[in-house]
Amino acid sequence: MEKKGKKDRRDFINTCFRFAAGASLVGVTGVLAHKTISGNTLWQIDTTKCTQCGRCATSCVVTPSAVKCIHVYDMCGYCDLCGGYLRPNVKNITTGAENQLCPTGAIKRKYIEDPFFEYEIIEDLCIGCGKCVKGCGAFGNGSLQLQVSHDICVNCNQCAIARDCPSDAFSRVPADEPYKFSGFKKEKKG
Amino acid sequence: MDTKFSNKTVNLPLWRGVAIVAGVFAILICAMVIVNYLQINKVDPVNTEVINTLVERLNENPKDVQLREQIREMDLLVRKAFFTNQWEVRTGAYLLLLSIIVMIIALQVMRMGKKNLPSVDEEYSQNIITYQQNARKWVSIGGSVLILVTLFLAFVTYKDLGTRFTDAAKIAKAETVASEVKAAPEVKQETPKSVVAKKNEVEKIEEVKASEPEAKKETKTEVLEKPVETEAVASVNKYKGEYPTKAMMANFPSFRGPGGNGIGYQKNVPTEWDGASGKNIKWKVTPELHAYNSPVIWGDKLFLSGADANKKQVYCYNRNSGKLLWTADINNVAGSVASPEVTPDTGHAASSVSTDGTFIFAIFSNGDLIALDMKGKAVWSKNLGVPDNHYGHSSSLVVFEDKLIVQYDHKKSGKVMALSTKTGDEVWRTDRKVKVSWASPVVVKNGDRAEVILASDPCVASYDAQTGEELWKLDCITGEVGPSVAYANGIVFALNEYASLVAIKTGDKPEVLWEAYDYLSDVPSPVATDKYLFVVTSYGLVACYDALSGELYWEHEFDNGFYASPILVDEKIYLMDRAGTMHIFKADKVFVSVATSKLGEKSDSTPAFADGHIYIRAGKNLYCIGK
Repeated sequence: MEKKGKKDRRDFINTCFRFAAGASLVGVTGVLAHKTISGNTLWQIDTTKCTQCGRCATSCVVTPSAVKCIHVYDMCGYCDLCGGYLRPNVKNITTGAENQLCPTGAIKRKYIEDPFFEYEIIEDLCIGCGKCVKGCGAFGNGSLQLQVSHDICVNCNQCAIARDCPSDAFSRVPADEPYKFSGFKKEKKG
Repeated sequence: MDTKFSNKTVNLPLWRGVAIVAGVFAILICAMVIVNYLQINKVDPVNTEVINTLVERLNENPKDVQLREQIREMDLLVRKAFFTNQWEVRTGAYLLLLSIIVMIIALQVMRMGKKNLPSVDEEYSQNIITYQQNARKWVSIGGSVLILVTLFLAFVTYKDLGTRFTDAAKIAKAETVASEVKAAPEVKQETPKSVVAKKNEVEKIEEVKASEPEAKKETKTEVLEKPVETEAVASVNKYKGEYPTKAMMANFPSFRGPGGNGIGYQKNVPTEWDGASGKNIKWKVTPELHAYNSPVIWGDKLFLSGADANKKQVYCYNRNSGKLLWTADINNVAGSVASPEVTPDTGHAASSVSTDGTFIFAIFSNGDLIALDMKGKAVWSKNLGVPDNHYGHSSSLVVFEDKLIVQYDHKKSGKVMALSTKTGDEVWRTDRKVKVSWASPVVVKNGDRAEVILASDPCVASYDAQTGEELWKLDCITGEVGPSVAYANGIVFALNEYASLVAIKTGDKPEVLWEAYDYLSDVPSPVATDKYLFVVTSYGLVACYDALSGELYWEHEFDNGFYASPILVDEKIYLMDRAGTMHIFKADKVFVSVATSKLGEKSDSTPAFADGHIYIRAGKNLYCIGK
């Protein structure tokens, strides 16, 4: 005679498997939900770490590089003698090729009023070499900065530039805050 | 079967033609894309050396309209070539894709057009079991091979993994070396022999130049095996000795002379020579390996180093005859690793060697540091860890008494340290929160202190040469600091391009005496007297300031730029320009040119001086100027 309420072995194993399957399902759902909530991440440059070594221009899998110079106008001094636009030691401040620092002529200089000039980056021409960024950072306010342009970046799992970056300036950032440039606006927001 | 499609007749020759044309087109496009890609890599707009050279020439000759036009044309050409090639590669890729799609469609249509009945392979049906076994076997083998290849590629390409292994190896080696050094009575046994040799060397020099108190000093340092710390503690911060010593002043023991302060104490230094005619060129030799460092001198011997990515050497020449006395190959340095990537204009041996008349010390781009005796035999060596420096390490070495001062400011950590000249053991070390620096340490006696003064973003800082204690620090310099400081009369002068020129009144509370922004340097260091400061720029302008007030006395533009630092000798400034012309002018309130002598070979190295002679590293050669 069987005792009421006592499970046999087969039932017990059956129940265990059911619990295990249920737990796995919940776990997988949880992981997926977490991933969905936390969102995707993107590669970006920390401008405070960047040393403008020039490897962004050569290491990126995209040609020309997905790294571009951006201009934070808030910070710009609109200088006539712009360290980001002109080669060091220029004799005449003109837009002649012999005076321009940018190897691809990707910076447009526009007269505003004496003695101020506006500098605009032509993204299609910029190759991300960072020469202008270095010049601006050393002599000016540091308004020219290198950033990964996300409409060009293919978001590799292992970013080739991040691997070659000598100052570990590359890191993954949340997709809802894809840029990491420094500037007055950014600081106010923060 | 009676389907609509199967009843259609397919024009097989037409589709075959389409497939062939598309295939050939794809191959051609593919070849063109590859050629274009290679061309893109060649036409690198970031490194247009030709244009840069032309711009340099234009700087020297700003009124050359033709040259300016040539630069503009070439600039346009290079940019056009670069961007056109990029467009071609992009368009080519699309065309390639299109042609492959067309080819696949054509092949598919051809396949469907052939009405072949499926045939049953009798042999296959008979050997189905063997066939399946074979299939399983080859799937397993193929899978294993793929896994192995993947693991191999992951191992080879994963840089961090490689670095971890190297680091682990380094630590392991360093530990063994440390234990070897501790348990090294045999090495000490050898020391007396080398001391005898050293004594002989010293005595020879003493005969010619040094005075008696110096000889006492030398013997004192020989006796001192371990008294460094005790003496430092006893005398606290007060330094009673003389620095630079008379022996140092009689020689030229390090980059920019004794203590690295840009001052030579030699007499009868020649002012006129000519490389083309050979006038006053006493000898000329070619060291095996090129480098941008400067020669140093002790007694009759001249030392310099050379290196490439695979080889490191230190050379010793007889400075009177130019005869190569020995070459020391730097191998078997404990913990040594492969040379890091450096820029060509820095090289693997940008740091000049230094000597104290007993040993010669040399440092290389991978952090290998070695001490050699006067016969070229290694006394001790160690690896300081590869400096994380994107151009390459270039801070030169300088000796203070029995300590070798090493400035090691790189990205991961900044530090200055003093190593025992005899054993290489660390006597003191001070960590620094600074960025990478390419400047060299300057050691001076400032009042009753011996100070090591360093320049690096963001500060100019001074350390007690005996204990390493930070004496003072002033945040006043930014950027990639190349020029070393100059010191005179209690004032330190520091500058960097895109930053400013700062005169700092030293002391426990340092203060900025004056600042200037007009003439700044990124490579050559300044030089100072009690009254004047001379600033040299890499674009060819030299300026003289009043050392106390900062008043600009004069400025003079030369035809060529400068990378070599000026040296003050015999009340004259010797300044080598990049084209190989030495400009000699009076260290005075007004610009008075004494002489201009051409060597005829490009030079970026600071010359070394001896009584009646100048030694210049130019091009791949080493020259002795004198009679």
